[in-house]
Amino acid sequence: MKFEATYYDGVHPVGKLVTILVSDNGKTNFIGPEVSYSCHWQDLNVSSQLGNTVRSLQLPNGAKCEADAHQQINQLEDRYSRSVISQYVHGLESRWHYVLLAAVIVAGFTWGMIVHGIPSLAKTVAHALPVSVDEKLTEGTLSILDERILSASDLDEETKLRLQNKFAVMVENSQDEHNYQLLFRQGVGANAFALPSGHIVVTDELVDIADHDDEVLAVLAHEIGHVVHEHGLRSVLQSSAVALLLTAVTGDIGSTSGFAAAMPIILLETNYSRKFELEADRYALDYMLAHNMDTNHFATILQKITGQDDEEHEDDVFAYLSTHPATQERIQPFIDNRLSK
Amino acid sequence: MIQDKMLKPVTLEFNGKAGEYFRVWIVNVLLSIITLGIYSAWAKVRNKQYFYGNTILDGSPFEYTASPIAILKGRIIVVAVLVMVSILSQFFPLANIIFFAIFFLVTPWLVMRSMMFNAHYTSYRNLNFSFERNLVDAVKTFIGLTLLMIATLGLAYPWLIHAIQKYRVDNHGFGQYIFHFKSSIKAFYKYHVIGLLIVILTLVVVSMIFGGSMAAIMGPFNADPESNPASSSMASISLVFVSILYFVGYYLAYAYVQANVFNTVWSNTSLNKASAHVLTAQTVPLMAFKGKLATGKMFFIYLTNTLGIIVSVGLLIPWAKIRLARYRIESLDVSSLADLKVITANQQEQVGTIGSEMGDLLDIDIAM
Repeated sequence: MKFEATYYDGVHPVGKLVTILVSDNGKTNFIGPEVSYSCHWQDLNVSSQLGNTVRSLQLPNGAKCEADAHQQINQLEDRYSRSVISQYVHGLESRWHYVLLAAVIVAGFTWGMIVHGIPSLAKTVAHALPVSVDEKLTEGTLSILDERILSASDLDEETKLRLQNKFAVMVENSQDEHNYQLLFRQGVGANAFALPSGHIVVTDELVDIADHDDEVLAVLAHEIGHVVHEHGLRSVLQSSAVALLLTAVTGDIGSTSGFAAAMPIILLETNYSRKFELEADRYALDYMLAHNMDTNHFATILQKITGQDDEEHEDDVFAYLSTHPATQERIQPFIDNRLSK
Repeated sequence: MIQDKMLKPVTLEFNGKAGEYFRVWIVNVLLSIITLGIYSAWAKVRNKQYFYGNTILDGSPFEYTASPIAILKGRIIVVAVLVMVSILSQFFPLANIIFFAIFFLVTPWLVMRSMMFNAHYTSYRNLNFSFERNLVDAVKTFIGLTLLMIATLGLAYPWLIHAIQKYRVDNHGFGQYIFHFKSSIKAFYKYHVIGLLIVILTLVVVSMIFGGSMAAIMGPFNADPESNPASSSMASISLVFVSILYFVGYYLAYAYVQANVFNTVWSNTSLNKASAHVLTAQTVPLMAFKGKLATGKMFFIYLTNTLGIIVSVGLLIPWAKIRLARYRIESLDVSSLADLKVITANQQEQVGTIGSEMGDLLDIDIAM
């Protein structure tokens, strides 16, 4: 076998044209005006085929030949010394049906991990971790909020005490290790939120628009649901796992495409958080049913908080971007269960 | 200038093709997943070699010659260290702080080793590049200037970028020739200040248009009040517009700074004889470069790359990487005084991979 190559001695970056002659027993001769060398093909270190890039043949004497006679080189490599990896990898790359199959497997794996693998993994890990991790996660959050967004409550002591007592009864029954505390604040409209440690903040505005204590308790049950199901910790775990997975799958995509990766992460996070909302709703529903509360209170307070404009836009494309599911979808189970009772 | 007339242009081209690279890329990803990450070392070599092998200077390709096994060993060590630290930090809360302190202190060494590794395993016409074992300047740059930058609340940032580029260029060599960087810090300040102004302007415009609707975004009953939940579709719409506007402004600033730093660095880089320690204006280099990236074109490529990647759910990543690489490589003019024949090899030394892998994993690797 015979093909042309460029010979580089490894001392001067100057190419010399050579002819490479390989006899049937594998003896390889490099012949050119200023070059004369011979060795066995097995002693060469040959780069594997990669697209159409030039092949490099490393000689035992430190010299190197560059050639693009892929066909001959592959034949010789098959006969004498080709490594398993380069043989199969290029085989996969050069056939479109394998490439297509690879794309399908990669896409399926990524999708499966994001939709099922990561959430259930995060759930297991979050429940296995001690409550001290929740507390660590929350450390300082409340004081930052108090400093920047929230202000002290103006509710009268009587109302506070009444709600505190009802809340104490609720968490007594919840049988978990979180250190539950009910806090009153104002400054973010009619709202309530929970911190992973078990601190639950209710705003004056929420208490004011409720016509019945059970409406406030319905919201508190939802927030306790967030804490019981470890949603704070799970969302932290899920976001980092998704970021890790996307980096691993896409390779070192660099800072430019990094922004492109941020977009799907935002979409995923809102999707994850909607699932958490539904899970917390479920907890509230179960709690209210178990304690003979009128589940309609949940529907009432939710409608009051979200206002009217929500329903007009419910099924437009932007609904997907919302962290909270549509109001109607959320209150339906509460209405259905009430009627069936 | 006289020296410019004596230098002849040398062709530099990029032959990578998106379809071809897609196949390399997807097989890399598949095998890395199947082997639980072990193949990623081979994938890295194949990936890098695809870009090196398709970069053709004066008719000859570059070659990436690192051994996957060496990279794998480095990765195993990095993972072991990270696992150890995370286990330790469960028992000793201080472990994390101590690790970061140690990490900060060894950063200069890691960067230096990473550059030595990459240079040593980059070859052109069977001659390796080299990187000087220069720890003193690495410490000055990556510890000294970083601390200065923190102390000055970022004012020294362009100075740090300048120092990093200078460290990178000045310590690279090819045969007995070394690279030399002669740009002033002033240009770096100009580009970063203008870049910052673009970002500030974007923020001002965005908050002027959407300031009102952002206030309504806090939603009801949310587990995490800091995540800006969108309670209604109206808020969602403005959130989308705000994000898009912000991204566009940020991209423009990013493209501007990237293009100008690239142009400045390359246009002030030359390849000179190692013995010529003192370079005067009359010194004629063996090779000179000129960067010609245009902010508008870079901005367009970044923007369309991002859109393509989003719309294709990641499948166009290879296409995006290829067209960015092509534009960067084809925007570089190379000229040479004489035949490269005058260059001869230096004695070669073996360079381990641990430093390089630590650098890679934590993304402080700055590629040539």
